[in-house]
Amino acid sequence: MKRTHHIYSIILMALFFIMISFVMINDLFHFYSPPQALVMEKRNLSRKPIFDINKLDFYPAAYNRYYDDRFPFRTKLISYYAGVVSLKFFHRSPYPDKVELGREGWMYFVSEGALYKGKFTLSNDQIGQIVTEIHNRAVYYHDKGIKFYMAIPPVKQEIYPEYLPRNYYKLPGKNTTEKILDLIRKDTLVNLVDMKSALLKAKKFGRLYYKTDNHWNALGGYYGYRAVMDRMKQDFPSLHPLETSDFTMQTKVVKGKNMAENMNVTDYVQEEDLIPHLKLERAKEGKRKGYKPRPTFPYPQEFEIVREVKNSGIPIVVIIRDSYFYGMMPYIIENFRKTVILYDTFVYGIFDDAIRIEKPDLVFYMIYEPHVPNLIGIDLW
Amino acid sequence: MFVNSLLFLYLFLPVTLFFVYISSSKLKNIFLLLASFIFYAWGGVSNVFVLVASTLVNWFIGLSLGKARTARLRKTWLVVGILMNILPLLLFKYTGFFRDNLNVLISLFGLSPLWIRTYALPLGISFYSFKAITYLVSVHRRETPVQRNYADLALYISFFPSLLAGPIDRYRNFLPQLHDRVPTVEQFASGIRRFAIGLGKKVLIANSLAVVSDELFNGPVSNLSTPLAWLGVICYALQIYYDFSGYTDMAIGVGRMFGFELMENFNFPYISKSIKEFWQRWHISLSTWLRDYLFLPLAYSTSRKLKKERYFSIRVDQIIYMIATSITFLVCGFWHGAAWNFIVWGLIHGFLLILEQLGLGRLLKKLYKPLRHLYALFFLLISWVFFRTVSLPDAFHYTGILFGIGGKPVDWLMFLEYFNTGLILTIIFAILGSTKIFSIVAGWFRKRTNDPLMALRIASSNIYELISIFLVILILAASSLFMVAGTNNAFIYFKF
Repeated sequence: MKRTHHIYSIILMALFFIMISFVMINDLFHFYSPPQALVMEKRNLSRKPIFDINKLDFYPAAYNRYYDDRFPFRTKLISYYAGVVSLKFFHRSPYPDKVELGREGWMYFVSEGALYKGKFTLSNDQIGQIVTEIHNRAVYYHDKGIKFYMAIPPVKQEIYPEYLPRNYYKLPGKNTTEKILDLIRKDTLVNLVDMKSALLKAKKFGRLYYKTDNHWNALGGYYGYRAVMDRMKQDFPSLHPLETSDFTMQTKVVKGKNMAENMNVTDYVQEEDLIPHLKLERAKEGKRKGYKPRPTFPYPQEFEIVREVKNSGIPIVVIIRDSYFYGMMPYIIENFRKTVILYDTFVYGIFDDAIRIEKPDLVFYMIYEPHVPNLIGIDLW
Repeated sequence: MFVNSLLFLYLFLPVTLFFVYISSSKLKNIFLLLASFIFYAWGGVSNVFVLVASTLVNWFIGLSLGKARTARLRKTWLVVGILMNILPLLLFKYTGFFRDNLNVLISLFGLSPLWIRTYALPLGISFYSFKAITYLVSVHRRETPVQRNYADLALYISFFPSLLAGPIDRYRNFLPQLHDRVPTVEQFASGIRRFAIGLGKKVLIANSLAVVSDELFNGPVSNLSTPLAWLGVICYALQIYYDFSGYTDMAIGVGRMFGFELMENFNFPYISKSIKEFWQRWHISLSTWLRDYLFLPLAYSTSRKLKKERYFSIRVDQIIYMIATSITFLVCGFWHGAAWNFIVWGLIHGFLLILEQLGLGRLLKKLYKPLRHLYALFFLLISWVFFRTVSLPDAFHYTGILFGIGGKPVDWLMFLEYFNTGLILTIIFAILGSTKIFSIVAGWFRKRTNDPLMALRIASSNIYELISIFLVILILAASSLFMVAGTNNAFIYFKF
C-alpha cells in the first residue's frame, strides 16, 4: 500500500499548498477585494506600514495588523465564527473578553462588569477629584442661581443581576460608583437623582433594559425620566411629568443591538425594541444656536438638540448628556419651555456660552455610570 | 512571529518553502537561517541582536574549544561558553527576581531598596541558550566535531520552528541533517499532518480551555469554591499540555516540511503512573537535557566526594540521588520562571521523585493501575496550581480551597454555569486526546490497510487516507477560522 500512501501524500501536499498560498495568489490577482472594517470595530482598516529603518521595532506589529485586516473573507469568517460556531453551536461568547453571555439571552459588557464587580477601582484621591469636579459644576450653577441636577444611570448588572451568569461575583465592600455616590449625596448643592432605586422599583412594570445592548429601553428611559422629574418637581411645581397613560408602547423585533454588534452576531440574535408613541406631542424642533463641541468630540452632528413647547409657565433646561439620554428624551422634552441638549459624553463640561444665552432655570447632567471616571480623564473602556 | 498566526501560515511558510525548495543545496541553509532571523525579528527586531550575538559567541567559543590542546584549556573554554550562555539568561530573566528578593532582605535592615535596571526578556532565550550549551558540551565531549561554518551553527541554534519553545534538539541529532537531509513526499505530508494536529491542539483546544482557566485563576482566589478550583486546575492542566505539545507538533511538522526530524517532546504524559514516568513523557527534550547536563554530572561529582557506603543509615547512592534530584528540579523550576512559585513547583516534583526513589515507587508498583494513575494525576494537578498562580500565597490559598479550606461555599448551579456545549466537548476531546485512544483507533484502521484480502486492503487504505486528508484540511480550516476571529493568543511556553 506504499503506492497508495505516496499518491495520497501528493494529494495532501497539493491541497495544503493551494490552501496556504491562496492569500498570496489573491494578493497578486485580486479575486477578492479587501473587506471593510466590521461595524463593531468602529475603525478604518490598518494600512500597510512604511518600512523605516529607524522604527524597526514597530514594523512587525503594524504589518501583522495590516495583514490580519486584509485577510480575504475576513468579515464573513468572523461573522460565521461568532454567530454559528461560537454562539449557536458552542453556546459561548465569541469574545469573552468583551461580552459575557448571561441567562435567557442577556448580554453584559465585560468592562462594565469590572465596575460592577469592584475589579475596576479608583484610588481615594481619584474619587475625591471626581467629587470635586461635580461640586465645582454645582458651585458654578449655584452662583448663577441655576438649580443643578444630576443622575447616574447604573449599568444593567445592577438592575438585572438575576440574568448574570451564576459565576459572576461582586467583591466585598462598596464598588467605585457606590463610593462616589455616597460622597455626592453629602453635597447639598448637587441634587442627585437616585436612579438605581427608581429602576429597581420599576422592574415590576416590564423589562427596562435591552437584552443585547448596554442601554435601557424606552420603558427604562421612562422610569428614569420619572425619577428625574419627580425630583425636579419638588423645586418646580409647574412641571407635570407624563403618566404611562399619556403614551402607548409599540413593540418591534429588530436585529441584536450594540453588544451583538460588538460580537458581530447581529444576524443571529434578535432584540425586542420598544417605541413610545405620545398621544399628544407638544414639543417641536427649536432653532439651534450652533454651540461648538470640543474638537475631539466623535459625534459633532449629534452635539446640539433643541426642543420647544409653547407654554411660558414652565422652565427652561439645559441638559448635558451621553447616549443614555436617548431613552428618556421623548418624554423629557415635553416638560420644558425649551430643552437644550448638549451631547458632551466623556467630559460633561460647563458650556458657558449656552448658559449665558439660554439662561436656563435648571441644568441636568446625565452621566452613564461607566463614564463617571471620564470626569477626570480616566476611560473604563 | 507566532506559528499560530495567519501571517505565518499564509505568507511566511509558503514563501520560505518556495525559496528553500527552489534554491541550490548550498543556499538552502542560508535561506533557512535568514528566514529564522526574520521569524525571530517579528517578535522584536532588537532581540535579533541578542540572538545573533549568542550564535557568534558560541561559534567563536566552539572554535576555541576545538583549538585548545590541553584538557584543562578545553574545560576552561567550556566553562566560559556555559557562562556566556547563562549570563544573558540571568541578566534578562532573573535580574528582577534577585533585585526584588534582595530588596526584601535589605528592607529588614532598614536600608533603602536598590534600583537595578531590568530588561525585556527576549523570546525563547531559555530554549536557544540551552541548545547552545548542548553544542559546546557536545564538542567538549568530542561527540561531534567543531562547527567551522557559522551559518550551520547559527541555523542549529535559531532554526525557526523550534526557536521560541523548543524542542531543545541535540546538536548531535541536528548535525547529520544539516547537509545530508533528503526530504521525501511522505515526510513532507507527515509534516503537514503533524503541523495541522499541533495547530488544532493550540487554537481549537488550548485556547478554548484558557478562557475558563484564565477566568478562574485570574480572579480573586477567595472567590472560588472547591469544585470551581478543581475545574480551574483541570482546565489548566489540559490547556498547558495542548498548548505546549501543540507547539511541539507544529515545530516538528514544519521541521519535516524542510526535511528535518526534530526531537519528540511529549509522549502522553497524563497516562503516567508515577512522577518519574511523567518526566519521561513530559517536555522530554528539557528533562533529558537536565538529566544529561546537570543531574548526571552532579551525581558523578557528588559520588566522588562521598566516600562512605552509608550516612545516617541512608545508602550513599540514595543520598547522591537526593542531592542531584533536588538541585536539578530546583533549576528546572527556576528555568520555567523567575518566581518563587515556579521554584516550589520544581521542588514538589523533586521531592516526589525522591520519595518514589526511596520506596514509594516500589509501593506504587504493588497498587492497582488506576490508583497509580490517580496518584500521579493528583500530585500533577496540585503542582500545576503552583505553576499557574501568580504568587506563592495565592498558590497555597488555591491549594487549600481544593481541599475545602478557605473558599466560598459550594454552589453547584454556579459550577454548572461554566459548562456550555463548547467547554463540554472541548474537555471530553482533550481528555480522550491525552490518552492513547485516538492512536489506538488510527492504529486499528492502519492495520486494516494490511488486510490479507486485497479488496479489503485497497478499500481500507483508501478510506484511511481520505479520512486522514479530510481531517487535516478540516483542522487547518477550522483553526484558520478561529485565528481570523482573533482568538489566537501567545503560547504559554514563550515566556520561559
